[in-house]
Amino acid sequence: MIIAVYLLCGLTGFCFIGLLDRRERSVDPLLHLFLSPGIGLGLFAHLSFLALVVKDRFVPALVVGLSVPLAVGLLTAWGWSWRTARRPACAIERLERKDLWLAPVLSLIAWPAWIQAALYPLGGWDAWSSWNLKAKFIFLGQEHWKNLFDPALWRSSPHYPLLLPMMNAWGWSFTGKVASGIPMITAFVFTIATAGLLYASIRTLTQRITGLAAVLLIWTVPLFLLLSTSQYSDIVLAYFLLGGFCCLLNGVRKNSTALMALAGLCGGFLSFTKTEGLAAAVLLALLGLWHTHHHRVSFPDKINLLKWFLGGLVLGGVPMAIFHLVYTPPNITFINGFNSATDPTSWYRLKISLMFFFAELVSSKWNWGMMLLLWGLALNARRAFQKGLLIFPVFFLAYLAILFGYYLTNTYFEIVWWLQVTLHRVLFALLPTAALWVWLSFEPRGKSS
Amino acid sequence: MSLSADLRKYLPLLFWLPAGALILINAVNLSLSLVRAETLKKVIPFYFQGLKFAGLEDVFARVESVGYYTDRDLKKDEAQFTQAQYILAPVILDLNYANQDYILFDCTSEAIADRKIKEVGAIALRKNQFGVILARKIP
Repeated sequence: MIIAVYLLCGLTGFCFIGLLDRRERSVDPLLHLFLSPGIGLGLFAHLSFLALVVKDRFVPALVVGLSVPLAVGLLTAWGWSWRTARRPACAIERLERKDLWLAPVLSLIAWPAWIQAALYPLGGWDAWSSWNLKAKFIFLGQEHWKNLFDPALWRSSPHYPLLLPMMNAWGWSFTGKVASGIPMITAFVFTIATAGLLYASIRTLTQRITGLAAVLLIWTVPLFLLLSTSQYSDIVLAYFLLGGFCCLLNGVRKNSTALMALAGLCGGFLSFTKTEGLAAAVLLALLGLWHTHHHRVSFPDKINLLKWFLGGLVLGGVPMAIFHLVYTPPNITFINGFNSATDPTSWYRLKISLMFFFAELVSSKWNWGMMLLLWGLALNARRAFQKGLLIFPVFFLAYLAILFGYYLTNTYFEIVWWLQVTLHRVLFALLPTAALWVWLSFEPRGKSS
Repeated sequence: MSLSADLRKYLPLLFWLPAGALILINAVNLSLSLVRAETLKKVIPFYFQGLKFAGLEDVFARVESVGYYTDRDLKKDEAQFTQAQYILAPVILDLNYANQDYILFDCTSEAIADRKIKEVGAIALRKNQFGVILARKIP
């Protein structure tokens, strides 16, 4: 049953992308394949959230009753478009024999990922103290589901967005009970889909299969594997951030409205993953506008691309807007250190944050993977900062500036403890996108732009 | 072709060679650590501390929150409290137990629990196999 639930997600995502891309056929087959589970899960999570808002309680039968017709409808429409266009509604002919190397590589990482996931079937600390706890409140809470925002549950960060809990609650509505297999498989699916998406991103932007090395480099780091299978929202953030960047670069390069819509949609989903996901989504939106504006296409084409990008962003961002306008409780784990007389901020906080950041980059807990990426950037510094790739360093700098600004401002937590439990997860979520940047910087000037 | 252009051709090797070595070393390390973890899993089965609070859900069918009292140091036992909250969700586990009708007593001994139950003016309703007592305040 659980496998069928995820197949339904993949199928729905696949058909949705296929229909979006039916005229242009600009989405490469592997990109299409690995965006499908994330887009499918994201769509169903949004549908479930809207049903929750309308009924003011989670009704599993309603969620199933909406999801299955949506999947069947999309499948029918996709099949119909295939029939009328007299060609596959997916650019499968672009798949090359050398891409088959991805299958053994993904199998190689799926094995340890599954063992790691099964070691902790209820996930890591934040899984049961926050993400899955929220999912249980939504799924079992009936009309009292909003108790998840109760200040007594401050340990679960009640102000955090609900994309991952909605995905798991959606899965439970098919099993009819809180099955621990659902969050575990959600994490596993995102782990493998992120790996596939990284390969597909590098493949489609460079035409090379060197992305296999990027996948192996990152997914053989035990800490990365542990965090990605811990049922945290960070892997979901990593996935949609990578998807957003890949679709944006491809969309602008290929002048494709479908890819721009997908970039926007990824940005919208990203905003509902975590609080820092919202910051990442805002930056992605701004950089999307900037990147498109500097692209050498006619003004009407630019407007058309932006229209689809913003359309996707709005569609994906609706639940986040509702959540912020209607539900989000005040952050009770926040003290503005600039205004507080009892817990004032100090330069020490910033100094220690930066020290932690640099120590994290060279830390052996990343098995030197982080160091190698920095080394790659140093070797290709000129290309890495060229115009076409400039959105990467600008994004990382702005994102880290926002984050360190928050570490500096919020004095609720003791800074050393806070950095110890959060900073590695922040970097974890950025790692696949950083790898994409490094791999693109190896391309000759102009080719990767 | 200038010397620097010649050298630049080999520049990527400075990345790919260490990358290849790192992948090999990390893959071996990862396999070994997972084999060790699998072996350990056979000896020490998975245990979730919150499971000691399982089996009380039927009482809480119409209850939104329940008090929690422990004589343990909560800072050291935070994992257990958080896991208990996960198991009992969607019921809120409230450390301000004095305000609640139902209270869970998770004490180091039964005598301590009994003393505390009397002190708050409650009667014990149920005790599970792990020694967790559910009590209800006498109105």
